[in-house]
Amino acid sequence: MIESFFPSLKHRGVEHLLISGQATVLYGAATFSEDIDLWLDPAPENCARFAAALRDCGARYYKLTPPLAAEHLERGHGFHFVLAGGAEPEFFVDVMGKPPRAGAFSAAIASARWMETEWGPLRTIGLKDLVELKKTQRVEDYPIISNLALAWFDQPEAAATPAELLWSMENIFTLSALTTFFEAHPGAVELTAGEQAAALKSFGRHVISGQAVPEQIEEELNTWMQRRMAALQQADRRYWRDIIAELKKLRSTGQLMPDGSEV
Amino acid sequence: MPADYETNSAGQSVKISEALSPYKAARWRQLTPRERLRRSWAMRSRLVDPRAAHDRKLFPKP
Repeated sequence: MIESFFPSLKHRGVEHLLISGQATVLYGAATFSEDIDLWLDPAPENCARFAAALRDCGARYYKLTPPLAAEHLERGHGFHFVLAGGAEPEFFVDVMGKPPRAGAFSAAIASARWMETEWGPLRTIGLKDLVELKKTQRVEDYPIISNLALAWFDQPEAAATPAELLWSMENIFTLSALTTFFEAHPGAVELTAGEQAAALKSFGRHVISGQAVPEQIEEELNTWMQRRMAALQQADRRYWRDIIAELKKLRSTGQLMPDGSEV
Repeated sequence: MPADYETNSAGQSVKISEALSPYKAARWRQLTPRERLRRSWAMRSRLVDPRAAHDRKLFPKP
């Protein structure tokens, strides 16, 4: 049951961060995620504590999961577990020790945020680290990244400085989010720079004055956003290439954990 | 209770249309993180096949 899962992690002293889907829900950038994603401190002793917590909860291995060892956590593999949900549907816990585009776990802890939830206080990855994690191959992640970029200014540590406004603008991938951005931060129009500065300025000025944005400007910015998304998706594909190759090798040599076996 | 509400395991009501597209309504960001997580998790019971939903995201077909 989900109500006992997080207390088990706490009881065993497991160092972890909530990441991905549920983190985006907590930050208000997404409305639904069906599973639990964790970033586990890949230290061997923490790995052992996590395995003990999983056993406490009767967790079972799910598909394509290497042995839960620090060596595989450090290599960037994903680990998948399924837990009984009690009266509710079973739920999935997906774990990484070294998520893509993230720095060290110790650095991520420093910018993490505690969130009060019905499952207790959850230490959640910092919003800016979460933005980097979400730059995946999934198209549907980019509107969520855009929402996170907007939500940054709701965070207690955020300030609408030029650098922060530029960071937010660089992580917006939809015209609707860009509209919301300029409505909330009209001063950012004058900060626009780079190859799309003229189009961004024009877009922002139209939004602020309440005028319809010319279609040509929308098309230009849309193409620019699509191009940036495609580059990030390609970088993510490149990132996973070696890890997937290694996973296939583990599978072909019978080294993956049997699907459904107890942890 | 109106037809477009359901009750979760904690006996709290969740308006389905809100849970499906609350961000557009700009109401979602005004909720507390606690409430957002509660509503999101409650929606899981509406998944016809949770395993398929999980696998689609995690192991996409090339």
